[in-house]
Amino acid sequence: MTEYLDKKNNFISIYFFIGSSMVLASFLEIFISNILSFYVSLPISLMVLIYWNMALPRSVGLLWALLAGFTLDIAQEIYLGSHVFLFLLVSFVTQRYFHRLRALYTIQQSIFVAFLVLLYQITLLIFFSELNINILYELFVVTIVSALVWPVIFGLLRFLRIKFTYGK
Amino acid sequence: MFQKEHKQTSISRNAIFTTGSMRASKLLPSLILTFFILFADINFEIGKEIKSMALNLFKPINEVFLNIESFSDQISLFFTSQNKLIKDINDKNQEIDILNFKIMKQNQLKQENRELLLLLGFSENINISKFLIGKVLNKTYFPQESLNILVDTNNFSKEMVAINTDGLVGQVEAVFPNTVKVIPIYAKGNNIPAIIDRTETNIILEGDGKENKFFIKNLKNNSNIQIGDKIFTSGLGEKFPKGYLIGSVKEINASEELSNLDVVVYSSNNFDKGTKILFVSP
Repeated sequence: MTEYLDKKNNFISIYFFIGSSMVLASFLEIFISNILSFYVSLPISLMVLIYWNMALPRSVGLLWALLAGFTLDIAQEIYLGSHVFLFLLVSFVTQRYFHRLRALYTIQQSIFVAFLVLLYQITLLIFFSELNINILYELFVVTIVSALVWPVIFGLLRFLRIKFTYGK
Repeated sequence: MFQKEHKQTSISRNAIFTTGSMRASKLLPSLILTFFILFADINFEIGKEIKSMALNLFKPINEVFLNIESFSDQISLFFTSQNKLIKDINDKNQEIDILNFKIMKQNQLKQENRELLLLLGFSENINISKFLIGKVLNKTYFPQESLNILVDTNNFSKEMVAINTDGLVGQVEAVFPNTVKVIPIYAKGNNIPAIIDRTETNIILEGDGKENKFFIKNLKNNSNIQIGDKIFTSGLGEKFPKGYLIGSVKEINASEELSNLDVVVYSSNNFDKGTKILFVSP
């Protein structure tokens, strides 16, 4: 009756799975930003990081925030540490309140993610780019799209995690 | 059954225990490290090499989408009648690019030849004993405005002066193994023996340090000088070869209280013009 609690507990596999998803998310984000050539990119890595921080806070730690952040800094050719700083803060907030975030409805989670994405993009724009009316429009669109994409990312990663961890 | 319920309770208790275990103290070392890297990259550009290496490493991945797009275009065009036409246009565009590059190189050579011809014209002055041609490497502004010139320093002497296509512009400050450092003739405190062309009066010009500006030193109030008078090197003291135009008189300020005239001379020779420098010995 409680077999689902007897998870495989494969340490390397979980780390490998989290790492693979973060790398894939970073590449996907870079590809999309190259194709669309917007000032503001869709922060898929950030959303994947939020998911893992919510789902497996003990396994994720801050290492993946550092790695994903440096990857994006290099890809977007901005100062090393810019994304890392924001990723660390987001990881901290998510891991601090993950028990409350898990209890939220998907739509509430989407609003929370959209809010984080908005803060993240505004910080990046203020410090490493410029703000004008076109960028504000892009910012608005990306925030809305992020809120819409979150349930997809959440559902997909949750499905894969359960399948991977419990073999179901 | 009781054992299973106990296990579930234990897991729940653990879950509560882990809830919010993240503390600011855990975040702090990572934040400090990140700030350190960010500061180092902003101030010392430490990430430049890393970024360049990483971008080269991931270049093929970045180009995957472009290659896929190009491949799909080729596949779709292969089955259309326009395929040959588009291929021909692409080939012609490539030929145009190559020709444009050749034209650009030829223009560059033409410009270089024109510059060398002008410089060789300056070398025909009978008052010079030796000349050499050097290539401008770079210009610096610290601690003073100067040009670094690549030249054969084996046959070089420190007394040489620098001439570009505008005329006399500088003098040698230092000689290094393969390069020389040239400062402008208008460098502050630099004295140039000169002559006023119209009256043939010998004067001493002093550099002001500002671009192309000189003063005439110790010129008496009753001197015969007018605005527009041309000033040439006199060759006296053998510091500069004779007969090179320095500039013309732009301002004359007379004051009854002072015994000397305050005369400003401006040169029209640009210190950093061109890519070649002619060095001549007086």
